[in-house]
Amino acid sequence: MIRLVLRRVLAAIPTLLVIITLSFFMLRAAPGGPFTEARRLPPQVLANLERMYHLNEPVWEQYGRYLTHILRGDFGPSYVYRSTTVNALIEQGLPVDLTIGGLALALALLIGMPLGILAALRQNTAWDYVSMAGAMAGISVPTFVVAPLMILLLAVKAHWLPAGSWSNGAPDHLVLPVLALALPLIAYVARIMRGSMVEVLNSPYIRTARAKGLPERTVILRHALKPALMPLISFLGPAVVNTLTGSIVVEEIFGLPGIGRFFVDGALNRDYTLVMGVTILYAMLIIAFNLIADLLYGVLDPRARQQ
Amino acid sequence: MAASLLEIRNLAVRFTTGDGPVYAVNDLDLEVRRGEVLGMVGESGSGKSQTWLAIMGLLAKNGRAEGSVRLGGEEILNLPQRALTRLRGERMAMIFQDPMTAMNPFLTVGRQMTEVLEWHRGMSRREARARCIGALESVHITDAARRLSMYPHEFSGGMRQRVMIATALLTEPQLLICDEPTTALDVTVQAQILALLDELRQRFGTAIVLVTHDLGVIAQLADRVIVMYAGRQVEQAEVHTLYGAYRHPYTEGLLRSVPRLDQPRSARLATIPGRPPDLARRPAGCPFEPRCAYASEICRRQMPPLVSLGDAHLRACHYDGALGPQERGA
Ligand SMILES: Nc1ncnc2c1ncn2[C@@H]1O[C@H](COP(=O)(O)OP(=O)(O)OP(=O)(O)O)[C@@H](O)[C@H]1O
Ligand code: SF4
Ligand SMILES: [Mg+2]
Repeated sequence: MIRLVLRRVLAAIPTLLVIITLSFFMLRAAPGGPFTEARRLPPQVLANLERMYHLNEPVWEQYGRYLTHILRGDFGPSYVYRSTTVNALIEQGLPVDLTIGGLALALALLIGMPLGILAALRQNTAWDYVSMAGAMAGISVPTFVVAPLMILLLAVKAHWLPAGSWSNGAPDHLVLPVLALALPLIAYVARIMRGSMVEVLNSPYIRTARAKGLPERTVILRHALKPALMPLISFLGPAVVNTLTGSIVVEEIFGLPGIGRFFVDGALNRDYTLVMGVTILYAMLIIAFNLIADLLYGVLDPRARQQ
Repeated sequence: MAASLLEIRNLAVRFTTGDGPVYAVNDLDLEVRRGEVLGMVGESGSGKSQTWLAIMGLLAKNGRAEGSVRLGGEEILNLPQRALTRLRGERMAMIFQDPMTAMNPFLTVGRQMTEVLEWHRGMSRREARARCIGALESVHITDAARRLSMYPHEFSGGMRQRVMIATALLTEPQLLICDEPTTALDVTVQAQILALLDELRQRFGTAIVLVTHDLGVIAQLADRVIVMYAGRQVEQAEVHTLYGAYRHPYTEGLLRSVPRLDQPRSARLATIPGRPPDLARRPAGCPFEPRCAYASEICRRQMPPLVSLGDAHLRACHYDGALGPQERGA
């Protein structure tokens, strides 16, 4: 287990280096710079700014400097949000994403898993068809349609909930964004759960369990549940990251101060360090959650554990 | 003659599919006697597995069983779930072809054994464990205590099948149904498992149903044989009668295709020309007619009934003349 973690962390280093290098040079290759877009600055001011941020140095030197800073965990100053650092922006935005993402994920598991399992147990009944049609809708209707609709109905018309803003994460402000983020996730989880449960219930070892006379409750809880969870775990690794990064749309619609917003602003304004910082953060999240999923896989599946 | 344990009358198994009904088992009448080994042979798709799955209440969701099955005089076909949990694994047990997939890869071997005793006998895990060690030893698995905490993938195919057998016998059921118990195993292991079944049957007096498409396996173990074709019983006889004086053209085809040592394993059953019929259709006449060398006019029109030839020998065929080897012998 520990060796697996070590090996994966070591393997992640070259991956990250490639990502950093590629995004660094691709950003520099894009036309324009952080201080060319907005109103034209007097040449003297521009030169001063560029010297201050070392943008006047050869690109290789900038790259080297960036790498040494990264090693110290320093993502550098933001060029757009002039008075702050990228680290500060991430520290400010990440909790927002973690809160709504985490809640949405919990909701998705809490609702999606039982939904999928019940659909599998009542295969080809009205319950199955209705819940799976609902899931299909949840997957295919995009968030930028669902979220404004929710705002319109539940906030603007019914006045049940606030339409947006963070308000330091007050619960009533969380409901709509979390729901919007959770809806497609619930649908995915339910569908995956149904599919894997149906497959497991048709497997020979379930027939054996039934042949032993075990009551259906034991067959499902002891024999079917764990194997049926495995595809869900493989899905969740990448899905967690997708939820965190995919919250950009939700952040925009509900006006939440998450990282996604900084990312968009940064990209539009050639804020090199901000874009790089968020990219590296997302890459690390992807690596970390895939590792967690693999570890969980190993904990649950004795065959995987052995390797 | 020993008393009958299981009486099957008029059993039919039908599946509903998108293309209409599939008649997998038809008009099946037979009995299993206490302590005997009853073999059932037939080509792939002849309804062997579905017969016994129906009796165990294990048919797929789209399957329906009709008729009557009595175990010790008591009707057991289509029982409700609750009643099945007291019957299966308690009075009758079933083991399957592929011991690789028949055990749950996520649970230890011990857990998959003890749960039977916990459920059927109300034992504690501790008591059950002790009993399971004994059970593993009785199927000649050494180092049993340690192996209980191992997972199925750490066992060989033959060992897994031994575990399956030991598990099935934990409750000392009256009937053990073995569906192709050795097909997935290599020849030496196959012989060991058959020897084990023979030994256990003598020790416990368990009646064994041995489903296979390998007549060689039947010859080693069975007392009587049922020959199935297209979901129907076409011949039934004591083993020595069947091998020496079979009376059905299909049985003849099966016997001719018993593997010989000079032939590769894959060559078995390849010698009956033609293919089994489509079970979605119910022919008016003999289902074997398109492939039968002895067929005559009546065979196409009329289903041959299963009739007794005396001496516990039954068959379903219109042809009265001598079959192949008798001719050759003459
Ligand atoms: N769920 C199902 N739906 C439709 N048809 C089915 C279903 N299960 C089995 N059948 C059909 O029932 C017929 C009998 O199958 P069965 O499993 O009894 O064959 P078998 O004699 O055991 O053959 P094998 O030697 O291959 O195990 C086959 O033609 C099969 O296609
Ligand atoms: S009834 Fe006719 S077709 Fe059928 S097996 Fe006998 S001889 Fe052949
Ligand atoms: Mg079969």
